Amino acid sequence: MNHQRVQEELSAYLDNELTPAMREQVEAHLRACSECAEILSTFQNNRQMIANIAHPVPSTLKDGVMAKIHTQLQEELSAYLDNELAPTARDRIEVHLHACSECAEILSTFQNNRQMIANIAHPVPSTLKDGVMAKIHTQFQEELSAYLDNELAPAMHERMEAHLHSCGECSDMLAVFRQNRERVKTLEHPAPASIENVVMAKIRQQSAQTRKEETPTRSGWIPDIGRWMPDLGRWFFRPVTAGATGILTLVLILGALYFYPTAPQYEETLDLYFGLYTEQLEDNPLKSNVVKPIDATPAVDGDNVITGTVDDAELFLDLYLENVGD
Amino acid sequence: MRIHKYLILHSAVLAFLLWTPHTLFADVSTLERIAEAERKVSYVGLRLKTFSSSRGTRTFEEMVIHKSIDASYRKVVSIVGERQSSEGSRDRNERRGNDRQRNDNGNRRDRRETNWGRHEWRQVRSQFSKEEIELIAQNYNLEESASTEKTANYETNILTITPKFAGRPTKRIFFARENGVILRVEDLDAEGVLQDMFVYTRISFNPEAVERKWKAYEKEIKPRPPRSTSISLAEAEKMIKIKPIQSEYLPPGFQLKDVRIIKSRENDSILLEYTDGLINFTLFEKAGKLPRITDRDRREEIEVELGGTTVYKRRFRGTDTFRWSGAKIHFFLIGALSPDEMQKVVESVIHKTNEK
Repeated sequence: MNHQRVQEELSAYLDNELTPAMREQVEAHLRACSECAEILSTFQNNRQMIANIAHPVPSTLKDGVMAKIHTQLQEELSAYLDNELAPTARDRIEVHLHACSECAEILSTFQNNRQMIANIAHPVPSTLKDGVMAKIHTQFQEELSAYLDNELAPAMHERMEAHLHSCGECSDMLAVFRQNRERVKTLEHPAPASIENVVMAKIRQQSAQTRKEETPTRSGWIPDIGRWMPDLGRWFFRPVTAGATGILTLVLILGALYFYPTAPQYEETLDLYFGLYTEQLEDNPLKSNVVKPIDATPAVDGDNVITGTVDDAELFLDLYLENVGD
Repeated sequence: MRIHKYLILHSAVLAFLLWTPHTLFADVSTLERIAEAERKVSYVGLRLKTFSSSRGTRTFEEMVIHKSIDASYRKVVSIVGERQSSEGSRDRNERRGNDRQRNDNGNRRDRRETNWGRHEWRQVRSQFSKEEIELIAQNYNLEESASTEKTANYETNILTITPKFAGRPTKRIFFARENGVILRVEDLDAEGVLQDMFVYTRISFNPEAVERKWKAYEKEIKPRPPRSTSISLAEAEKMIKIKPIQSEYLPPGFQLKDVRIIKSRENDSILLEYTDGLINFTLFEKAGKLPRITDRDRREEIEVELGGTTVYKRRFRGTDTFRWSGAKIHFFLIGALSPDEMQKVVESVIHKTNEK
C-alpha cells in the first residue's frame, strides 16, 4: 500500500470505518512509515482539539451533514447495483451500508424493484426486432437508387443521409450501387462483330422459321406482301425515302397549282352576263325580252301543264276573303 | 232646220263615241300613271307567270310583297307541272339530281328552271325611269282601252304598246282602273305570238294586309346587293384600265342607257346597256384572260366571219349571244334584237376596235 492510498484512508481509519483487512494493511504501513504516522498523529490532534471545543456540534448541523452523506450514497446505489463504481467507492458504500440501516433498506428496495421489473418486462423477441429493422432497411434500400439519382424529397433525403450515417449495411449497399453504375457505364461498348453476327444469324433463322409456320399454304405465284411489309415499312420510313416522298408531293402540288386553270369557264361567264342582262328585264313589267319566235323544242319533262299546289294556303285564304268582302 | 242639223251632228258624234266606247286616249301620261302607281301603292298578291323557252312553256306561281318601290320582293311558291304529292320533297330532290345530271351531261340551256322555285325571296328592282318611259312613247304606239273582264276581281284598262319599227315586240298591260297597278302583262313576239305573260290571281291593296304579310315574311327576306353598279364611262375607264368601245351603229330608236362595272374574281368587266325603252341589248367588255372554252362550248357555237374577225354565235336560253376578241378586249353581246341588227352591232364594234 503506498503513501497516497494510506493517507486517503486515514480519516476512515480514525473513524473505524475500514474493513478489518484494510485496517491491518493501514496499521502495517503506519508502523513502517513515520511520515504517514505523523499525519495520523496530526489528524488525531485535530480531532482532539475539535473535541475539546466547549460548544458541541449542533444537532441540526449534524443532521444536515448526515442527510447530505445519505443523499450522496443513495444516489450511488443504482451504480453500485450495476457494478459500475470504482473499488474504493464501492468499499465505502459497503461500509456505510453495514452501518446504516436506512441506506441498506433503500438498497434492498432497489433490488426488489429491479427484480420486479425483470419479472414484469418480457424482453422483445429477437425475431420481432430483426423484422422491424429489416423493414426499415428495406424501405431505405428501395430508395437508394432514387437517392443516387437525387430524386428524393428533401425530408426523405435528410432521413436517408442520417440512416446511412448510422447504418453500415445500407452504406455498403449504396457503395455497391455506385460501383454497379460505374460498371454499367463501362458496358456501353458495342458488342464484338463475332457476337453480333452470331446473334443476327440466329434472329434471321428464327424469323424465317416463324414465317414458314405462318404461311404454309401460300401459292408460289401469289406475291407474299405480308413478308415484304416489315422491309417496306423500314424502307418507307428511312429519312431519305421520307424526304424524297415529301419533295415529290410538294412538286406535284405546286405543279397542280401552276397548271390549274384559274380562268372561269365560258359558261359561267355567260351565265353571269345573261343574269345581268335579264336582271333589268325580269322585274320590269315595261320591258320585254321577246323579239322573234323561239325554237319550239318539245319540253323535256312533258308535264308542264299540271297545276301545282300553293304552299301558302293562309295567304290564299286571306286574299280570297278580302276579295269576297270587296 | 238649224235644230235638225244640230241634232244630226250631235247624233253623229254620239254614234262615234258609242262606236269606240273602249278606245281611250293614251300617251306618255298613261305610262307615267302606271309608274306612279308602282311608286305609291303597296300591295301583296299571288301571280302566275308563264314564259316560253327552248324547252317549252314554263309556268310558276309567285308571291309578291310590294311595300314600296325600294322594298318589293317576290318568291316562287310553286312550279306548275312540278310534282308536289306527298312524295313532293323526294321528287324535288330527284328533280334536282336529274337537273344536275342533265347539267353534267352538257345540257345547261335552261338553268333558270333549277334556280327558280327554290323558295328564296328576291328583290324586285323595277326601274320605271322617266327617260325609258319617254323612249317607249317615242318608239312605240300607245293605245288604251277598257277591258270588259276583271283581273283578280278588279276592273282594268289595257295599255297596248305596238312597235313603230319592224322586228320589235308588242306588249299589253292590264292595269287596275282604280289605281293604275299592273295586274297582267302579255309579251308578244314580232310575229304577234304570245311568249311571256304574268297575271295576278289574287291581289290586295289593303295596307294592313301588306304590313301583316311583310311582318310574317320579313325574317326570311335577305336582300342581296346588286351585282353591278352604275358609273360613268370615264369612271369605268379608270377602274378597269381599258377604254370602253361603243357601238357606232345603233338600231333605230336605241340609245345608251347605262354603264355598269362588274366585279369578278378574274377581271372586272364593263357593261354597256342599250335600250329602245322596251327591249335591251347589252355589250360586255372584259380585259385579261378569256374564259375557258370547253369542247362542249365549241360544239354549241357557230363560227362566223364578221369584219375580218372570227365571231362565235351561240343561242343561250332563247337569246342570241355573240363573242369575239380584239385589241386585248373580249366582247360579249347579248340582246333581244333581230339577228340582222345584232350582226350590225357586232360589225360596228369590230370596226371601231380595228380603228384603234
